[in-house]
Amino acid sequence: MLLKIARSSLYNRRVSALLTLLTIAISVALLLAVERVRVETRNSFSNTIAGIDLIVGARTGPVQLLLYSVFRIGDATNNIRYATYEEIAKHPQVAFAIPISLGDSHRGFRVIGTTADYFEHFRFGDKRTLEFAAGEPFADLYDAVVGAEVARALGYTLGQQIVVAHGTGRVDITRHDDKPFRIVGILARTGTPVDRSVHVSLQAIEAIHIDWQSGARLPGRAVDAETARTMDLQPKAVTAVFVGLKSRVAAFSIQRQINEFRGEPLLAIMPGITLAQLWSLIGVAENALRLVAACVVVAGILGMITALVTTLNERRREMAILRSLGARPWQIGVLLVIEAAVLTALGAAVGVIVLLLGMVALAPWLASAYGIFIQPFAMGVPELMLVGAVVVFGILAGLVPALMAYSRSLSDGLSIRV
Amino acid sequence: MSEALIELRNLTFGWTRNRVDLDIAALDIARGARVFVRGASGSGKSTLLSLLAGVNVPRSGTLRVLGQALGSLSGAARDRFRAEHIGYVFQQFNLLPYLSARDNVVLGLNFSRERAARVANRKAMADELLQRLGLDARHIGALASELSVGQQQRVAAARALIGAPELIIADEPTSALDADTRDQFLSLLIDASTAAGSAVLFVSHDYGLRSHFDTTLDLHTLNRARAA
Repeated sequence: MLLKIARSSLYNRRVSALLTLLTIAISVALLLAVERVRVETRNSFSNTIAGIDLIVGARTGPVQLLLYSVFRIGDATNNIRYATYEEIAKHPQVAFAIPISLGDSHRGFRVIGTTADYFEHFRFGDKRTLEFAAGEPFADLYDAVVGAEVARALGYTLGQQIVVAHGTGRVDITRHDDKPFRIVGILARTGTPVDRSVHVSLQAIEAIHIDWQSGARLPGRAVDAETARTMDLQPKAVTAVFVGLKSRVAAFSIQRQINEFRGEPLLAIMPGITLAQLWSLIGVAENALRLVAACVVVAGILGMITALVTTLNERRREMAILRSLGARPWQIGVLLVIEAAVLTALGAAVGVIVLLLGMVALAPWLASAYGIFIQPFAMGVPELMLVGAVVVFGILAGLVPALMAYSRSLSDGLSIRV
Repeated sequence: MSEALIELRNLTFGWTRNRVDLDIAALDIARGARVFVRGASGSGKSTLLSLLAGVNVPRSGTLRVLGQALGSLSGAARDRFRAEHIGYVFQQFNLLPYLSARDNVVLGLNFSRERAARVANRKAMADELLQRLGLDARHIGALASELSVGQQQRVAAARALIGAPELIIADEPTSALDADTRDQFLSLLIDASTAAGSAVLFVSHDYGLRSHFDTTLDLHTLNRARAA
């Protein structure tokens, strides 16, 4: 019966109750969204690379090398010589070495010069290999293989011609439009930056820059696409090298050897360790974000307390009536706790639904704009615990108006104020 | 079991320490009696009712209801006692506006074990009482807030009567009604309480209503604090 009274009374005040419920719903949705994005970002990052023991690049900060080589965030300040790559590849402990060359883009997507080894040895997630949704690796000089997101976002199909732009800006300013590429392969979706990359051969990178110097086209020395084929396209530099070792035990010693390489200043990093460094950097921002989300929940629940307390005056009469019928003061208190519990529980439920709908709606955009791949229905135990904590907190908060109503109904007794 | 419903001796009560608002030498009401208490505002009427209902306890003297000395019970025990044995009809009726007429009637049973035990089918009993008190069947399911004053009053009376408590206290329940409706309502109330075996203590300033009752008391003469 108390439940029925609480329900009818709430329904009687449905507008303010609904607003309170929405406040809680939104705060719960926000809290969960922050948590979800945080977890998914970590997962996306951790899943980006696997089976690579060392990443070698020009000497820079380890985190920076990781960011530009693997996550395609930021730019390399320096390249390393091709000869150095060859030397690393020949090392007896090295199983494979994948060179990559960065610096160009196609309509906001990074272009990567690499070799066929990339499609064979690159691993992501749970050591999965790259797979082709259509087509095959590049064979000809002007062949390109695009990631799943590139194909989806730009609507590309096999055989289509694309033009690569110089630099990595969002807008293509200077274009290598004299040497167009043909799409010969589309990779299956991986949920990593690979989806957002255009892959060409190292020689192709060389070819499109053959008539360029210091980032600008040499006037009067244009070389057309077919002539370029006949010229020396031996790469002179690469941006970074992904190295797989025959035995991971050797990783530390090879890393030291590379870092002490006399030919040029190099940096070798182990992706896992550098990723951990990255987390400790990001952790601060993450915690700030979680703190803000928690504050929003607190604000939501304070809003509920406010709403309940302000209705106490209006409901003084209702409570006195119940008291006059023999309801004990504690039952009046329980009534308010039930109300708070119903509001927070429903609010939390609505919040979860809002979040799920929001994620379903925003997931494609998050994936294409930020490379964060969200799985809307992967609600885990930590999230359920968070929701549970919010509900418990809400019920505890309901004790505030409940105690007020309790003491008030004790002192008011049967005197019913209209 | 004591034959007396209310047994009051040398009772005094004051709202503040230095005042005596109520001072009654003796008052006895038998079970099943129908008593009219006449009192204008300021006569100590509310004070007497608050003592009978166990909201307040006497400063001195004894007050026994059904043989139970209310002054010796704790606040919670008095609450329970009131819920079990007293049906109260307020001047303002005090229905919960968001419950139906029927639910308002049934409401009191939830806080009273003995009264609930006397009612086999709550819904049927509520409907029966409401109809006996003259509420149209089509209004039984309507929200209390949608009822007219006269209809609300019938609901309030039915709520007091359900579960046949030993005592019905009605505090000026007819002040908002016109004369015809008032008389009709009073006979229905008295018939229904007789059927339930409940005593009725009816408080009003309107002397004209006393013909419906067996006994008439006048608080002006009863209350020595005011007479003095």
